Amino acid sequence: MSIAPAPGLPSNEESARELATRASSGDLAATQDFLAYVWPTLTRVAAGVLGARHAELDDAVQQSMIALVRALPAFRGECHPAGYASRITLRVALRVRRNVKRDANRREALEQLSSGEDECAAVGAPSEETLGSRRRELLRELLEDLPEEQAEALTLRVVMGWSLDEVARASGAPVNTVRSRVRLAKEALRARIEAQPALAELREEP
Amino acid sequence: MTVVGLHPEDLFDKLLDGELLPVERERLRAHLQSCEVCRFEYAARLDFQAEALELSAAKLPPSLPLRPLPLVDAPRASAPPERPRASAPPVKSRRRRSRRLVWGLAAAALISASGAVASSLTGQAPWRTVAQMFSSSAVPADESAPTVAKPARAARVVAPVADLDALLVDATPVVASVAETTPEHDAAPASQAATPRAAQARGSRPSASPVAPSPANDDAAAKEAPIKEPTSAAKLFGEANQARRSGDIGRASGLYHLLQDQFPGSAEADLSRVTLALLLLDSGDAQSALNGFERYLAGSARGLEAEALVGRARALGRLGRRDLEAAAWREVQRKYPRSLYGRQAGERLLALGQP
Repeated sequence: MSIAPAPGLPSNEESARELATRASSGDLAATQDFLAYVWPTLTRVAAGVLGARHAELDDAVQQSMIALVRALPAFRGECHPAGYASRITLRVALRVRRNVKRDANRREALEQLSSGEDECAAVGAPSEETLGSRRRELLRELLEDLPEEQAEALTLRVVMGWSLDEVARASGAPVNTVRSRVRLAKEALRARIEAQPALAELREEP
Repeated sequence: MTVVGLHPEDLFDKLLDGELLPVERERLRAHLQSCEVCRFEYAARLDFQAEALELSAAKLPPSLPLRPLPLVDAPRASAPPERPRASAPPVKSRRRRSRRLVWGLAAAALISASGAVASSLTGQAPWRTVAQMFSSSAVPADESAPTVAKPARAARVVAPVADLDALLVDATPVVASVAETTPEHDAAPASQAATPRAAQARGSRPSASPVAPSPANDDAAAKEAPIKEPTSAAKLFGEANQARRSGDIGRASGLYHLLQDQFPGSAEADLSRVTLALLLLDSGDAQSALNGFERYLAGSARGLEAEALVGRARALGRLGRRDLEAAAWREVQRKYPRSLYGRQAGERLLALGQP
């Protein structure tokens, strides 16, 4: 099985919109191409919310693609198709994350995390890898609690590395609105960091 | 003093685009030292970037949309590994698992969504599988559809300052070319596609875009526009970066050369040497990239020294000159021992058997 996207995918926003429009009309070939086009983006968003090694990542990506195809008829071409897909994936991934938290996997994961932290404490300062993992986890926890628009802006900006303009085009909102959402999300992030003494090392000045 | 509302989001964007001027770099660095939230965000971006690189090696195609975050020497964070290569071997176990999941999910979806043909799902890419599930009928929108803006806004023209497609296509860290992802071009192996793109990037003057543009496409219109006589180094640098982001490598390359010819002593010209060299490296022209990095390092500018040193080491690696590559990485390690680049150098030296 080749997982490389097929050639002939859109090279710009206009052709991506056209492809999305054709896909929304039920064109199978267009739907395949459109999913191939957005698949890397969907995977990165889902991995950003769940983690690259999360057991449910593949399922979340699949669910996102299904949700995207179902939602295509509602796509009016008012934002970038990849942004539209990212927003759907964010919702699906957050839902998966919440579901996972409710089952036994959550307890197991927390136990592992807890034992890992104890080991770190025993041997001294946490490694960079551990800190990076904690930072990602803190962001993911925060995404669950933020208003949807702020979670979306923060995900696209921090996880995907998109500029304010790009986030604005993805979400169909003015740049200043996105700027405001990012600012509010960062204030929530500040509160989250300050509320966790265990994250003190993340706040050290260089 | 509170920093609420004063986070330099625009500087983050310029950093990502490689457009940060030295004075702005200092401003960003100073802000990062005083703002724990931005410092956390910067580090988290690197963390997610590193995770995405790991993910790309395991399951994503080379066209992974990734725009590497450069360093500003401020926060501690995980080191981003070497950018993935097109030739990175697939991880078979992950693919098998992925296929299994596709099957499982497809089966579940068959129950709830009509129109799928189970016998046709074997061994297909995930998007093809999902597409086939919906092949026979229109499917109503569900609650996952984001709320869309008012229809009246659809006609609004959005300035193509930073195209998402540039992330999806052009910012790939490997030799995937514009031709590979352009509808007007047939499939071509990455190794073949790299050649014309590298030739484009080497060209001293921009050429017309190989993509047949839609009249309504602002990006395409920008590509076709002739190079105007610049009024300043900053403007020319901005035009070049715009061309680079929109995927017009030939035009970007020509504008960078023009900038270096006309404003040789400007800060923008110095920055452009590294930007152009990175472009060449990603285009597969390691020798020209190496020349560019060495020219920058021979000059007096030091704002991007770390990036140029790392670029030189990577270019030497691409050229197969292992001894020189190891020496170049050692220099990175010596000059930036506590940075991410220092860690990157250590990992590479270990891989080269020269820790």
